[in-house]
Order: sequence, then C-alpha cells, then structure tokens
Amino acid sequence: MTERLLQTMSTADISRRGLFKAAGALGAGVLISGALSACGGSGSDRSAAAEPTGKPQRGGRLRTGHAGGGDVETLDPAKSLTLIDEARARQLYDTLTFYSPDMKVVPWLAKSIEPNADASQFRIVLRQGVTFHNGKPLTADDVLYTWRRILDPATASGGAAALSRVDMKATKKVSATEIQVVLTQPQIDFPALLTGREQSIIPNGFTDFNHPIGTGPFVYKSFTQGRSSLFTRNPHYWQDGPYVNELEMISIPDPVARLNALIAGQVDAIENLSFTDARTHQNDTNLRVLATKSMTCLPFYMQMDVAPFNNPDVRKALRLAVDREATVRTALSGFGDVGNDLFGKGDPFYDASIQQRTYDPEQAKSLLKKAGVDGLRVTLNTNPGTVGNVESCQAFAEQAKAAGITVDVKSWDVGKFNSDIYNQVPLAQTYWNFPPEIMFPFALAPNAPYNETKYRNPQFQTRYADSQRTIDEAKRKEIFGDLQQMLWDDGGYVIWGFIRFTDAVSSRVGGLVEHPYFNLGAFQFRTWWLSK
Amino acid sequence: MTTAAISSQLGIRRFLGRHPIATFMLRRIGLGALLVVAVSFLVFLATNLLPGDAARAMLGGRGTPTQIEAVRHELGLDRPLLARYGTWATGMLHGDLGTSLTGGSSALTGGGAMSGRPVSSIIDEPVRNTLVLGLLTVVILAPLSLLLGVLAGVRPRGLIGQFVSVLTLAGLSVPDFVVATLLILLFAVTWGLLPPVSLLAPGESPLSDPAILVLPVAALLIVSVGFTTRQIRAGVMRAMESDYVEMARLNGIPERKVVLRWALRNAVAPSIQTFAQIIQYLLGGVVLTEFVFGYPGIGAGFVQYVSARDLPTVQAVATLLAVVYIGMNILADLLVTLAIPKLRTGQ
Repeated sequence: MTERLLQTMSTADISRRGLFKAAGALGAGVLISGALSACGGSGSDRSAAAEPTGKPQRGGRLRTGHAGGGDVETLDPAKSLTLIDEARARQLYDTLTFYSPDMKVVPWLAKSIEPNADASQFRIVLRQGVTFHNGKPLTADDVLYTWRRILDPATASGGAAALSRVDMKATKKVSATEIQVVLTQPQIDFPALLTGREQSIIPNGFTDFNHPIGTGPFVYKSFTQGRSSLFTRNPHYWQDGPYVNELEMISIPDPVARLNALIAGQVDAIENLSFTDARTHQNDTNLRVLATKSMTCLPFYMQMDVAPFNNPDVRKALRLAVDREATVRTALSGFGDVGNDLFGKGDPFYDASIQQRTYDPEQAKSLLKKAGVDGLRVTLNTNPGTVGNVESCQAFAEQAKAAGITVDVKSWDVGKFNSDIYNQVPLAQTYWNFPPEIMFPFALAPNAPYNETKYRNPQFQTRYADSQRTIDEAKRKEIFGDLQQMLWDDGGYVIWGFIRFTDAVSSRVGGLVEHPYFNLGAFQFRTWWLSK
Repeated sequence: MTTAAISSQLGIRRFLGRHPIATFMLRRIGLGALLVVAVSFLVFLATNLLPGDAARAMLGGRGTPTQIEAVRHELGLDRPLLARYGTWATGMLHGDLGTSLTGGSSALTGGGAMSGRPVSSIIDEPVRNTLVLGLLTVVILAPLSLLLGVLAGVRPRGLIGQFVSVLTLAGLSVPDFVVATLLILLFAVTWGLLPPVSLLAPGESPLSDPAILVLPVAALLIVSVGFTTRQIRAGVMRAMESDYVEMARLNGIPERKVVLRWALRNAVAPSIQTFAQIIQYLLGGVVLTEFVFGYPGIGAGFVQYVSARDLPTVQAVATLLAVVYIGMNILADLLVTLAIPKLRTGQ
C-alpha cells in the first residue's frame, strides 16, 4: 500500500515525493485490498460495463478522482509539476497546438502554424472568436506575454526548454492575431513543443493564479490545494462541449480509497488503478477499466561519458541482458508493451521497422568479454515513486545474472533521489512519456536540457539539425528513422517497455476517447457526458 | 537588595508555600515551555536535514541549476540555519505561523517577495477536521471505556469481565489501518451502508455530513477502547482488592456503595492519564486512519507537507503538536494531583 501511496506523485509531468515507509502496512494493505477487490463483485461470467451510446446528454456534475499532488498542486500552468496539474491545466486553459488521439500535432488555439522554407521562422495565425473566461478576446499579445513569462528565469518554469530556440527579440506580432516567430535555429518540430501544458496561453499581464483566467472548456470556481477543485462549464468555448455543467476534481492519494470512491459512486472516474485492482475489476459490470496504450516508459539511463558505459559494447550488453517480455509481465502485471530502446512507441514518427532487440544473455556475456570487463558489477538507482520502478529494476537484476552482470538495485527516498541521485549517478531509472520528436531536443540533441545519457554523437547532431530543416514530413520521418537507428545501435537508454494507463470510469460515463498522451483520455473532460 | 524587593520576594515565597498547587503548575508550565522550545529547535534541525531540499522537490527533480539556485534564494534556504531559526521562532511567538513554501506557488513569482499562503490558512481546516474526529471519538470513548472498565474490574471473572478482556485484546492487537480497511470492506463496499471515502468539500465542516464520520470514528474507537478499558479495569481491580475496600465490606457497607465511593474514585487517577495519552494520540493526527479514509485531517496533511518539503508548515505543525502534547501532560498531571489528596501535600 505504501508503494501505491508513493506512486501517486512523481517527477516531471508527475512529481515524485516519498511518504514514510511502513513495511507492515504494505503487506497488510496488499492482502486487505486484495480481499476488498475480490468482494467488489467481479465474476468471469459477467461482461464489463458497456459504454453509454447515443447522443451526449447534457448536464450534471462530473467528479473525477486523482492521486493529487498535495501541497504542490497549482493552477499556474507554467509551474505545474504533477499529473493533476496537467489535468487541471487542460480544463482551464488551451495550448496553441495539441495532440490528436493518434498523436498528430493538430491546431488548437492556433488556427495555423506555417514554417518558412527552412523552418527557421513560423507564422502563427490565431483562431478567431476565442475569448478568455472574462470575455477578453485572444490576441497575439497574450501569446507573447505567456512566452516571456515562461522564459523568465524568475518564473522557474519547466516549459522554458520547449521555447529555448525562440528569439524573443526578433519575434514580433504582425497583427492582433498573427505572430511571426523567429528561431535561433531551424526547428520544424516547434509546433509539437507547443503542446505541453506549461505552454498554456494566459491573458496578457495576468499574475493572479488564485483566480485563474484561461480560454479553456471550464471556468474556475474554487480550488483548495491537495483537496479538490470545482470548475463550471464554459458556455462560450470555441470547440464542442463541455456537456457536463460542473467538473469536480478530487485528490485521493491512496489508490485503494480512490477505487472505493468509484465503486461507491462518490466519483465517476479515477486515474491509475493499481495493476492488481485493474485485473480484479476487469469484469465488473459497474465500471469500465481501461488499459490504454501510452508512451510512458521507465527507462534506465547510462551515462556514456564515464566507465564502464563509455564502452559501446558494455552498453549493448546491458541492453541485451533485459528480458523485456518478462519485465512487462512482472513489473507491470502485463499492463504494458515491450520496448525496443526507443522512445514513443505508437507515435507516427516511431520507427517500428527497427529490429526488435531480445533477451540474449550469451551475446551480452561475449560482448563484455570483448570489452575486457568480465563480471561487471553496477548499481542501478531507482525510487518507489512510480509503480513498476522498483519491480522492473529487480526483474532486470535477476535477468542480468545470466549475462554475468551483477546489478545492485538501490531504491532511494523520492526526495533524495530527485535532489542527489537523479542525473548525477551513472546508472539510474528515469521517467518519460514523450514522442521521439520531443525527446530529441529534450534529451539527445546538443544542449539538450535533460541529457541524462550525456549523448554526444556528432553524426546524430548533424542528422538532427537536418531533420529540423526538413519541411516534408515523409522525408523527415526517414531522417528520424536514421536517428533512431543510431540510438538503437549505441545509445545510452534501456527502454524495456511502455506502461498502459490503468484508469476506470463508472458505467454512466460516455464520450471518453482514449489517448496515449495522458490518462483518462488525456483529461479531455470536455467530451465526456453522464448518462442519467 | 532593597526592603521592597526583599519583602516582595518573601511575599512570593509565602504565597507559593501556601499554594503548592500553584507552585507545581508554575514549575510544570515553565518546564513545558522550555521543552516546547527545545522541540521546536529539534524539529527545525530535523526538517533541514531531510534528504533533498525544498527547491528541488518543488521543481520535481528536473530543474536546471540556475532555476534551483533562484528558488533556493527566494525561499531563503541559503541563509544560515540559526538565522532562519531565529526569524521563525520570533514569528511563532507573535502568532505568525509562517508562510508556506508551496502554498500558491506565488513564492516563485518575480519580485522577490515571499508571497506564499500563510501556514495558518493551510492547516486551519485539517486541524479542525482532526479535532472533530478526535473529540467525537473521545466523547464516546470515555463513558464507554469507563462503563466497560468498571464492570470488568468489579467482576473480572464474570461474563462481562471475560468478554471485555477478549474484545479489548483484539482491538489492541489489530493495527489501526487494518481495522479501518476491514470496516470499509464490510460497511461500505459489501453492504453499501456508509461512504468508503470521507470526501469533504473544502470549507465544509465534517459535522455537516455525519455519515463520513461514522466509520473513521468507529475505527478509532475499536483501536483505542482496548487500551483505555484495560487501564481502567486494572485500576478498578486494584482498588477492589485493596484494604480499605475490604474494610468497607466488613463494615457492612453495601457493594454498590463500595464500588461507587472507593473503586471508582481510585480508578480516576489512572483513567486521567490514560485519557490524556489517548487524546494525544487522537489529536496528533491519526495518520494511517485518515489516509485510508481519505479524511482531510492534519495527520494525512502533515505527511504531504513533509513530502513536499514545505518546511515552514512542517515546523509549525510539529511545534503545535508538541504544545498540545506537553499541555495535555501538564493538564493530566494537575487533574491527577487534584484527584489524589496524597499527592497534594507531598510536594
């Protein structure tokens, strides 16, 4: 149970924090929750609840249960850290672009974003008729203010990395609804970088995030950190929906309590069931348990600039020493898909043609011998902040034995991991949920802000620069294929699998469209409706 | 020394000599205050020694070094430890519980001024909620355990005595979160009689929706009643076996009077201390119970503040708890002293 308490908060898009450890609590909690779930009325002869059909019905209050971020929850999108912040940002605000359920970048607040010939400039044309919740129309000034604020070091926003190539001096508004963006370097993927929640557009000059104003489908009514928020339907929203009148988002950190709330009808949807509970309730007729494919992975990173990982044979050996199917089965209880040491499986730019790496401890052993490192011993650092973390490391440690590699798994308190371990030790577990075109600038290209593997391949750098000048999508996909081949050959990541989102909704909920980007249909609550 | 000074000193001494209880109280309060100071400093030290600092915790581990430095400076984390303690302690004495590091996150907006939410506004509701839960439990627990304890103590080998013995042992042995989970399993999930999660809208008092209090209070009662009942039973048993009770019986005083006048009165002292302990336990925030029920109290809240490294809030809550604990102890000691005449003259 403690582990699942910890799962609720993790870094980056989900901030990780440790709670106190109660080993007894874990054991008893698992037993009891198993008993609880078993009494939830599951039976193999019953089919799971069907989704309501027909036209969306209007009205009602949609209540959603989240793990929450406690004290760190915020309505300021530039400073958002936790998963519930992501969820709330998508209700109150909009970004210029977003991802469709098949992971294509689609216009959102921006009607169009057109590159020039070499993608060193973009012309953004904003959608007409969009207003903020206070009635003010959306203009270019709002976008520029939002960007200036994100880039301001005093804001300390995690969204600054996405805007790192924007030349704010040269970027100008051309009219009330048009902006000419000038980049310091070509970056055809610039529109994709604008999909992040930190890039939510706020009104020009706005600072009072206790009473937020956005263009989003829901309007702020009340918010208590760590408890719940209440938003009401925006009747002037520029897209279809919302269909519900009110949206209440509630923080329930304990996953068992969260599930109980759904079963008892206290909430209509919850995120992140434990894998055990997901399995137990798959046939529950009162709920729908989802197992949505996602790009979320828990890779191990190897720092390529220190021994022993500076040797490509050693890196390859480690990658061959993991049994991907077995790890998905044990660490994710089967709620996942095998990975191939590449990010963003399922994304249009993911190169599915690259040969799938398999568990080959014999080859790993011979590679190590060739590298002159017989009997390799490494410390794999992780934290219990995300479900699957520690289990996957332990599974790997077992599997690596056959390759003659001794893996010492060290699990740290999340706070300590984030401040003293992560990105400072040669081998550790990380967390990502981005498609390849975002991972390249974030973690792999030169000057990448999160270059965990210290990847510095000149050939990769040249090819990546080429890709960012390539307007034609098909040609760009080819270059991305080359880049991924390079990463597959000698990169520093062991990406053994991708997690499926295990969420659940009541049988009353209709209109949910599953999405690989985030849980609960990427929190697009505006499409949801409640049947009477 | 002047005559006035001497005589006032003598006057004080005479007063204290004639009022041993006042002396006792003053001494205890004085010591208590020192203890609170010591605890507050230890808490301050401990929270600052927690692995991982607030800046990185807030930035989620992915902040750039410049970002982290900027945040640390904003939060004053680069000032020396003693200076920070001094500022904070002075504030506390003026009733200013401090400003949360994460409340509102506006502590990080440009301008350099710390404008996070005041700690008092963050903890007022959780504290109130835990108080409601705790006091409600005590209000039921006290008469219940007194009744059971006296009945069992008067006739330990009778039916009630045996029953109480077994039941209380069971209640004592099962951990609080297990009791809580079992109650949820039975009453909420299987029989659907009560809500499994104590969902409370922010600002709402738990008393406005009593259904959410039933299971948490029941859980706490089951866990605590064992302890209190057995203590009272032991006190009563001891009293019933004493010489003066034997004497009273031999003198033909009816049993009922014996019980009421002697057994009960002599069970009061251990009862006071027992209840003081239980109240401390309950008001300290019964973390696991609150967590399992999703009850928005200070126990579960405190865990979140620690996780978020919200140092000012952690320090304020820990110090307040210390004040409550020490205050309860002083109160309990006073009541015991008042109840037992022997102790009054002994000091």
